Amino acid sequence: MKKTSPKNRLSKTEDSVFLNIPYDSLFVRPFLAYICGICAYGLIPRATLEIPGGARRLDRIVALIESCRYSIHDMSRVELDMTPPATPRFNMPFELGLSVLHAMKNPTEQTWFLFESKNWRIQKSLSDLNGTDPYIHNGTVEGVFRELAKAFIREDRQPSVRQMQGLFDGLSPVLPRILTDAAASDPFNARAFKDIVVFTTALAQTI
Amino acid sequence: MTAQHITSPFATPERSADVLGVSKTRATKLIRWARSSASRSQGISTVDTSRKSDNEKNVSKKSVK
Repeated sequence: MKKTSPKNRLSKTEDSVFLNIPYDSLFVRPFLAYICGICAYGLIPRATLEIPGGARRLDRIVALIESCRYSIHDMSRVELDMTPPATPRFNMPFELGLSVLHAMKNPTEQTWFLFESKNWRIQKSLSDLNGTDPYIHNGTVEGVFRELAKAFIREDRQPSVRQMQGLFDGLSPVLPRILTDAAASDPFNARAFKDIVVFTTALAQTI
Repeated sequence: MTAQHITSPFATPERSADVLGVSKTRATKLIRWARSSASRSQGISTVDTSRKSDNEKNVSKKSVK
């Protein structure tokens, strides 16, 4: 396979979805559901997990967001993170703001979607977005699939919720092996994330 | 929000690997696992009927974002 430079990998991709979710062990199953659902639509999930830390991290986050045709922002875990010092979790709303601004300035280049687990909460937590209907997934795998099916239409190959669940079930037994290979304890790890996406994309071809 | 019609070609695992910077060797292994997993399941899938929030099913509380 031809080696691709980081710059080329960030060229505009019509089939990529920027996934803005909490990297939180309480969110592992919804995270995997997003990956499976996005892959079922023949799209490629991207996440800031791929970006190493460092001084240019923000530049790279902006470049990643702008490289994606779609973005999904899950605001379902906006509560205080009680790990000392207790703080609100600003990364997800911040990245949502970056996407919204990019989409407003370039309306044909990115479409963003707002996901939540609880009805009406976003109207309180982020009232600037009043008038935007969030997709409410209730914090379940099935809910994530159901809401993705509302957000995306693929006329040539529309996946069913059952097929998305099939991908999830197919991934589950392989996940421990992928995590072991990445020396990771959860999928919020760059190598594990990439392996999961490639595996699930291959699995999606079989549905 | 209006549903978005996807018109881009269906991503292949090779394309995903290229976009994400996964080596060809690793991608080949992952693709082989996926195909063998698909052969084993033969289209059989189960449905998660649990009503409990998936957020609540996990036990540890580490958060990194």
